[in-house]
Amino acid sequence: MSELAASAASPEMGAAPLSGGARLARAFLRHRLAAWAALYLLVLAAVPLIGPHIAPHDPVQTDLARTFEGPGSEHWLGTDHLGRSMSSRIIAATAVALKAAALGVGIALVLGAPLGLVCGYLGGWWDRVAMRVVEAVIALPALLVAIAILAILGPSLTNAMIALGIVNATAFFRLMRGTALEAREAVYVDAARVGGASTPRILARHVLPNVAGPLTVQTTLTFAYVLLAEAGLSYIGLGVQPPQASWGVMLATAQNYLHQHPFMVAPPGLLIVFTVLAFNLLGDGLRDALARGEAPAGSRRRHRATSAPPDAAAATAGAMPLLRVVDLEVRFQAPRGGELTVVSGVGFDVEAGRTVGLVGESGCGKSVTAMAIMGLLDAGGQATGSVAFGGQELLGLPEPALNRIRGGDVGMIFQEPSASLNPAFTVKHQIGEALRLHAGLNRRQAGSRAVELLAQVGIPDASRRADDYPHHFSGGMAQRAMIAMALAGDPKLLIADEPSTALDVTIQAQVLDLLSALQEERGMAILLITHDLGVIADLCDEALVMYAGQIIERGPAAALLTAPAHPYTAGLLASMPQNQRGASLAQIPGRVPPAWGWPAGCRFHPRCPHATEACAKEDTTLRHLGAGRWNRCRRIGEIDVAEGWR
Amino acid sequence: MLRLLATRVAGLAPLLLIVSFLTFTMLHLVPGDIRDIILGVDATPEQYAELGAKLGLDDPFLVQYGRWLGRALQGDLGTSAYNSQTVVEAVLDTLPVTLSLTFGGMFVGLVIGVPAGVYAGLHRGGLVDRIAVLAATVGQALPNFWVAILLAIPFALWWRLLPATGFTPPTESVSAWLASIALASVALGTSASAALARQTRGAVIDVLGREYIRAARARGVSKRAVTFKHALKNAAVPVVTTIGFQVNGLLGGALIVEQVFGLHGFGALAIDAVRTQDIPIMQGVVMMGTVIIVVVNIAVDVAYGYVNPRMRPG
Repeated sequence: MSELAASAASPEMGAAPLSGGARLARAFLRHRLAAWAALYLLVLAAVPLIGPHIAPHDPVQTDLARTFEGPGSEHWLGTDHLGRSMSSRIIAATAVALKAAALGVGIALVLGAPLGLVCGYLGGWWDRVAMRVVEAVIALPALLVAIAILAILGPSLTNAMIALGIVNATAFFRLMRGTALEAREAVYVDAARVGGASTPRILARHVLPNVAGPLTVQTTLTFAYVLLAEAGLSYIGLGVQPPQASWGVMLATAQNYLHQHPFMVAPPGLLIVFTVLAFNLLGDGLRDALARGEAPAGSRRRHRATSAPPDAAAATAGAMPLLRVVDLEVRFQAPRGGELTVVSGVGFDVEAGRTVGLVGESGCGKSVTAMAIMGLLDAGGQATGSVAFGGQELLGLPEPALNRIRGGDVGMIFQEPSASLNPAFTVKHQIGEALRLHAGLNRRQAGSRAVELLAQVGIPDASRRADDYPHHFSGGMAQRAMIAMALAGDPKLLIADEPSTALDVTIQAQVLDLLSALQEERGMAILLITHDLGVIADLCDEALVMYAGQIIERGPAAALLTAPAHPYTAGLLASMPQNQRGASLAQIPGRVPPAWGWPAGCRFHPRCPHATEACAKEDTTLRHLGAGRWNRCRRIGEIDVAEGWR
Repeated sequence: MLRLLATRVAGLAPLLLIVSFLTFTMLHLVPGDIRDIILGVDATPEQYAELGAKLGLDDPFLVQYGRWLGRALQGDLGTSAYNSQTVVEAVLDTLPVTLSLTFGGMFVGLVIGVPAGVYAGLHRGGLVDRIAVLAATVGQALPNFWVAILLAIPFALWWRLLPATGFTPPTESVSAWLASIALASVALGTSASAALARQTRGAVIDVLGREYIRAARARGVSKRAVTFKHALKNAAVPVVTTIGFQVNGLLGGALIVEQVFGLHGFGALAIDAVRTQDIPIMQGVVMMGTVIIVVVNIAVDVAYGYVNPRMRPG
């Protein structure tokens, strides 16, 4: 059902901010199926209350003169083998089923939830014993246990519900225990304890609000389970006892006359299906609504033609560089129609053997740019403009040709090395895969070459470690393995997307050193994506600063970092930890606007200390300042860009 | 792989011990006196005392449990309180029906659910995907025994293609065995395949969004190879787990569905045991049911270790 939720977009921009509850309700109502299910269940819930009044006949009143009547005006659904009105019996059965299910779910809830809460919160010995017991209970055949409990208590509906309640209590126990455990770890509960709040108060104030949602979902789904199980138990004669009506009893009766009157199995069966389906849909809808309520994401906006002119970079004539990106624009299909432009007018060159840094805060479009170059945009993404590698246009190139370039002449490494290795295959196998694809080696050659590569990137005891699975590798080791994999095709260009961000500080330096050593050795070019200006300073020849999908400043790395020409670059520099000399760390206020919220005019103006009215109105262009420097700020020359960040 | 198997089996001993204790305790809570059932209402006080001594009913609870466990370990689960059949005999008599239906349902569930889930996951948002999602949602709401009845009407009653009642053991005739469990297996398999299809689809979609899939594409692995090699092996991990969960539901479903076709399995045995308050039989059925679930879960764990290297010991 999750794709239903995915198509339900979150509040549009500009809508009044909603309270948590209202947002939840809205998210839920967007989920049309779930809303219908809820309506159906509301109507059904009225049956136990008004059923006896609307039922035209007594559900257990027999009339042997009028058995097996087909549906008619007096008995809408006909009569059964004893001449009892099927419609009245269905109404009575529905009331019985709902009341019984409420009892079963109630027992499960009362039995499981408080125990789980206490065990999770107290932890320790009690918790361990309880968990052992719960594990054992889960391993028990649930329905057999329910039947065994009926053997003890005797067959009856109430006893069946007690049995199902006990069997289902473990789900609530585990849910509550998990949440309480989490809350216990959480800092805010500790804070409350230090503040002197008593344990029951901590539980009531901090755990219950967190667990209320999942608990509602679990309750709904348990309703579905108990309804099914009750019907089954009644069908085999261990639940509701005849002559009382229940869905299961009616089906058991109907089965006896299957040959002559097959219609009799339809009404009770369909009611079970609809009701269970409604509970399941309601549960799914609630779960999705809760997930969305917590993390409102992915809004929509009609695609607005961006008037930003292409960067003039391509105009620099001369020999074709290794990589030339011209006027790259990336658009994504918005969830509900329309398109979202996330990168616009990006252009730059990477010369063979050189290192170009692409820098900016997260959400500026750096990684999307890299993915567009590789032709690996997520589904629904489309790149236009031009990406020429070694003179060959990559945009629109057929997959087989692209597959030869990816991992061949262009290697790539990613931010999360551990997530980038497939957990199901050994490291050697994965490096070997690249070698078999690009170096034409057979499996054995690829294996030994993979070990060589691992040794080259500094993995100690490479021949042994090569047979390990990725989960045996630390983050730094995994990144080395990723680098080895990228080297397999002997690339001319390595795209490194935040290669050191996820690693420890000491490991970061090692990985970056390794990259520059390899570059020197092999003469490959590197396109380095990072949010860290320090990395740019250490490694790059040229730097490109991106903001909100555009390049806002570009130039030789050293010059750009010593004398930034754009307030954004200056702001990034000022917020670098290395730059504080006793002074407090500066910060650029606010955050990068999402792609559907890019402001008109200069996209940085809402956060810029130098912004004027003109900045808010007129679009900017990337202008050449000479000495290889380009800048998008209209006020250049008028202002001291470092001003305002101190 | 052997080591994994050994670890799992060793880990089971305490679990089975707890289960046996729970079962024993639970069934010890029966109100009334088991002697009333065995001896009937006309018994003399002497007969009562004699039987009490024989069954050790006056011993402390733990002593009784210890004795029961000791015998159980030797394969003696006692004698039915209702007739003279031993519990082990009664359970083994009915075991083939229950096993056939449980695994028949699992087979149908896997054969329909997994391919449907994989296809739907790979073609997310397409027509087949939407139909599969809808069918899986409805499928999970279908009561197995109702589906069984609906299947029986045309196939057994009208067209007489398959027997409406009765079980043929596979030792007698494999084709007759298959015919006798076919409808029940399909009925059980509907909800299992629905659950498996949902799980598989979700797993495929999740895995396709993972970084290592993109990384594999970035080193030039074709889309097809990424899907069938890199994605599916990882997607198998949660699916295998689901299979473990499904066994419990299938076993429960089998108890009820066997009644539709008049098959004499654990369901029939348990229903009789409830009616006659035959506690030893009930204990035996619950223990045997637990063993089935546990054994399947060991198999699942081993398969899990195969698809997920992280789960291998060492």
